Amino acid sequence: MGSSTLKIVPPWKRGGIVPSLRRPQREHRVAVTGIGIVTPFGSDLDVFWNAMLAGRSCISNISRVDTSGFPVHIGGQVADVEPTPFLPELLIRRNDQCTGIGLLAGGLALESSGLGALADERRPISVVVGSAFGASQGLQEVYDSYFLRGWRKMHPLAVTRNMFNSLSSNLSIQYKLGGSHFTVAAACASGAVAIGEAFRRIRHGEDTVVLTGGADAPICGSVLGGWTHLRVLSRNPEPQRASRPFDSARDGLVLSEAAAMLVLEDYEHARERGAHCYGEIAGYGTTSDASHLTAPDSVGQSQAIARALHSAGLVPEDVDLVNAHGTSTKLNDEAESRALRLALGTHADRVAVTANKSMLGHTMGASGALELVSTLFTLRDSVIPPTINYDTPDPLCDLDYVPNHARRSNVRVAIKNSFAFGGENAVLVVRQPEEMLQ
Amino acid sequence: MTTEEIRTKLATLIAKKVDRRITSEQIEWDSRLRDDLGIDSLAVAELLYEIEETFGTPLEETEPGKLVTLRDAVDAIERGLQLPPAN
Repeated sequence: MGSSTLKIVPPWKRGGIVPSLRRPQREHRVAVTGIGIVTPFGSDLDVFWNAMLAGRSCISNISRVDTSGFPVHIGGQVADVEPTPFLPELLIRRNDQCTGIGLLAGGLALESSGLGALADERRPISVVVGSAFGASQGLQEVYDSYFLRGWRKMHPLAVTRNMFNSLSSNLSIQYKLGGSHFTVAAACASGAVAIGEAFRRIRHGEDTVVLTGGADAPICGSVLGGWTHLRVLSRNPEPQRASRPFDSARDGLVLSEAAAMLVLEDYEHARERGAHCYGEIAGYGTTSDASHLTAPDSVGQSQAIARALHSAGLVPEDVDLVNAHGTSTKLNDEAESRALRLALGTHADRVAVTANKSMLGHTMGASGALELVSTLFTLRDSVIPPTINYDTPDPLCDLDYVPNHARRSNVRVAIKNSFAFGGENAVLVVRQPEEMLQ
Repeated sequence: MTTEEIRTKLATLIAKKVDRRITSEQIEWDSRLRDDLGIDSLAVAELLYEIEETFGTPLEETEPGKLVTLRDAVDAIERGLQLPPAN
């Protein structure tokens, strides 16, 4: 912790290239050098990972919201954010829960990268973060105040607290990240799209370091009500048994809260400064189904997988693991299984598919980032976390879902699927860094 | 409410807006909200809201830029309290 003294050289100053004459000469490799998370399991990476390998669920009965009038009473809740040496209480209090957990995860990621959360001067680090709902709790509070008590009783910082780029703005300001910053709104794929866009910025030489990831805190009455109306939330009363991706008895997803942030870094830059590399982001592909706001489309999804593999210069046979979107809804899990067959062909029968949402619930815009963290740990430790609550196979979901128990496996290449309402499909490809492969 | 009571209550509100540890007793009449205490424009917006909640008087006629010192804010509240309450 403490002020960073590490100097980051932006791409346009590296190699003495005159900016006006500079053209992208080559594609840069992209390393993950920092990780920070805030989950219902807490913020400790080992606690999180050990819980997942043990097949434990973080879903519980909701306590923050009075759910007595709802048919759904379960979710994944994070604890209130506590101040840290890099995150003052005033900043936490001034912001919504989503921004608070995102700020904490971002600071932790910078700390773990060795770059440090705090700095004395602006640093050439960019911020690309995603959220499905943004400051959903803060928005609900101001509308409550407005309609029940009038404008005078609205939170005085209703604008800055709830604007959609609140998280990226606060990350930039608090941690002196002066590259560029923007917020991705891609519903449940927000985290994956943010990481993919951050990956592109480094690959194409726009940035050397990017803080990226996703955050969402959807456990509030209005979001819970909205999802309940869509009939996609599990009505299973047993919190830890409710999220059961690919199982024949699945009946919907479970809302959950989290933030997950990664530090992406030019691979050579990371190597030069001796940074630890958790893995390499090797490819990224996106498509739009262009068909329906909520119904998934296997063709669109499979094309996103194909694009991601193409972007990584890989073929289906290279893939050892699929970290599935796997929401536990009837439609998603069938469509995703079909998409994997379309994209991977006969290799789909040999690839392991795991669904982290069985334990984490659906952390919305954080899910792509948080589940990528688990995939990076699989690359590191050669063990795949299970899909829990998998009791009865569904004939329409006929792949190897790593049921109920973690599995030892040397995973060299993995893909992370994230599919969203609106028909947005995003797929990331990660692989072991070179040093690990040798 | 006496001037001293207003000062004490207001200093307590301000102390909560200051990032570093500071007690309300350490805030003096001529302490400058922005330059000495680090109260930025967002904190002023919060403070104006809390003043209305605490003292029951909106400071709508007061330009935030004119609230330079604690004394300015106390004066503005005293002026406000002589007006009919909002609503």
